[in-house]
Amino acid sequence: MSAPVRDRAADAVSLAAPDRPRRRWRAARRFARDPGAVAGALLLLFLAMVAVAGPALVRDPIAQNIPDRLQPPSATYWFGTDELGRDIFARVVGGAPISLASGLASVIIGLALGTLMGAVAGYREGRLGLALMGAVDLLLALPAILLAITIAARVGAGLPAAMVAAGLVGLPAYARLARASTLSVKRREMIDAARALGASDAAILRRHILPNILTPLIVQATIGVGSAILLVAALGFLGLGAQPPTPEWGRMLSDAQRYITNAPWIGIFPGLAITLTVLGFNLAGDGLREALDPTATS
Amino acid sequence: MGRYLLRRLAIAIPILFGVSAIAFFMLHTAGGDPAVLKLGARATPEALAKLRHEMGLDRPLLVQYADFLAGAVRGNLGLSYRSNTPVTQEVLSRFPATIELAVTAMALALLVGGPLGILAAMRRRSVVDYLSSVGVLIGISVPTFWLGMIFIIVFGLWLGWLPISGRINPRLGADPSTPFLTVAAVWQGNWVVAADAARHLILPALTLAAWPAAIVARMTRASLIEAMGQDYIRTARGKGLSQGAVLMRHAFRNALLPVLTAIGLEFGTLLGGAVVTETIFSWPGLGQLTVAAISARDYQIVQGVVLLLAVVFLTLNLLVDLLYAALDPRIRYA
Repeated sequence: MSAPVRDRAADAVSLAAPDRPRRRWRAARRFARDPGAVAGALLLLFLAMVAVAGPALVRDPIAQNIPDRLQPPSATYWFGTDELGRDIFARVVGGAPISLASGLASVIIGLALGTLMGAVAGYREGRLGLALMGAVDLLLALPAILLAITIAARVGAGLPAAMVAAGLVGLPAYARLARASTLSVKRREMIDAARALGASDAAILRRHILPNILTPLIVQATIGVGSAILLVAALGFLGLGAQPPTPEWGRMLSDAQRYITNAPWIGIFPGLAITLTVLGFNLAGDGLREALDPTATS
Repeated sequence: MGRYLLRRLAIAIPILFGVSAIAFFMLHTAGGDPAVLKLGARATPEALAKLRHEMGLDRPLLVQYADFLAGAVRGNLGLSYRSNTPVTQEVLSRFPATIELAVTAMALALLVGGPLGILAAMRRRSVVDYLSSVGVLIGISVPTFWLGMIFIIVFGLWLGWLPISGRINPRLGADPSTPFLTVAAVWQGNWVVAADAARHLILPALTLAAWPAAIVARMTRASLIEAMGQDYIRTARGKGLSQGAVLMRHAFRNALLPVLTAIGLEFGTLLGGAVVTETIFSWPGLGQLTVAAISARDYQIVQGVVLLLAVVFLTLNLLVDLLYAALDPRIRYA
């Protein structure tokens, strides 16, 4: 596409949404007035700080210290130690970047593939669209954890397998949302205008449809990070995710099971960390949805 | 309705083929040689080749899949790599324990989530509403496997109120593989076994119920609030009906459809969630079988569980759609 054509098509988009900055400002104000959303955002900010700076400030999360094994929480070991004498506080802090990154990576995988499939299916409603959405529906024909287990078994146990599995499990939600939004956006005049100016299908999808369907997808993705973190942790718990000695929270809970009777603290803190992280994403995601769509029932 | 049912069944069949293909090709290309699994790592190459030939593993994958499909439509899913018993038999023998757990969990979820959602909708923006919202958020944020561990620590180990693993106390002599053990014991009038089985059921069912209870509460609240804003509710109030009558006779019936969808979908999720819960509580169902099969690379069993749950999942969705028509006379299929 030539530059003038691109500019005129971009103008068409901007003409279609003249009050977008004002709407964003209003949404930001609504988000800031929602105590749950603010609590969620603060929680995520805190977790992000722990994930970035924390590992440098605590002990080595994989360093073993057998004489101090199975110590209860104390001034020396705030969260106690595990069966190999490793500091659980250091492992929980060290697990923060792993869990946050794996949740985000899973969502990026599902969001990118799902949006692409859904947008193409919505834009090309014919056989291609039907085939794409048929593939998406196949992924919905199984409970999430079982689909994730099958994918993780194929890719091979490990954190990358768990991330791919959690990403593909989330894909259908993004694909369906992207398809529905694309069906509505492609009927707008700006798309006809772009096509009349000679824009290719790929350019229309990239420059005109994608920017207009992103908002609901981002809201869905924010909520999806929590579910992805839970799924990655569940796979870790079942032995299909992160492998020892990686301080991944789900894997830590799996190892803690054997010591539940004499050292329950080994499992309590990683589980609490997962709960708080998922809670943060759920609160922030709900707040974002309500801020962007105040007509939704809350 | 008949035509609609036929159409839905016609859609379900290719989906089942698709699921079987996904499960088959993913698991059969996952690595791990079944022949080595059976004969051990020290077996001679000749013995391994002979067994691979006997098991049909030396044929092209597509031929193996066609063979598997031909058996599957007759209910034959092959033999377990580990135990050599028919997969269908092994999977179906574990299914009732999972169903018992899932049905109990869903009943608990409805008992807690339904009234909580109704109360929150009736007293919108009250303390009850905020507390219920907090409960819902916690319910969807807590990992099932951690909640199970906390229940075991608190109710099993600290308070000693409830058993923490298995389906029945082995000293009672009851067969733990009995389908629907609690109901069967009540039916036979064996109250000691029934009480013990019910006590074993409580913690895993509570663990599994947390997520669907939160979803049911959230959906009930949202649907009721939406229904309460409709014109027919104003009319019902205008003609002098009490708040309870308006709620139950008009709003609740109309709010039921989305809640029903959630229940249908959540029941499928619940069966999946049982994989994790059963592992924590050593519950002898499909989940425990799947996890053991994965660690032994017995993918025949995993494939059987995947197919069975896909059939259950699709059937549940179909039932929910059919119930729509029964509950809402405006919906006419075909």
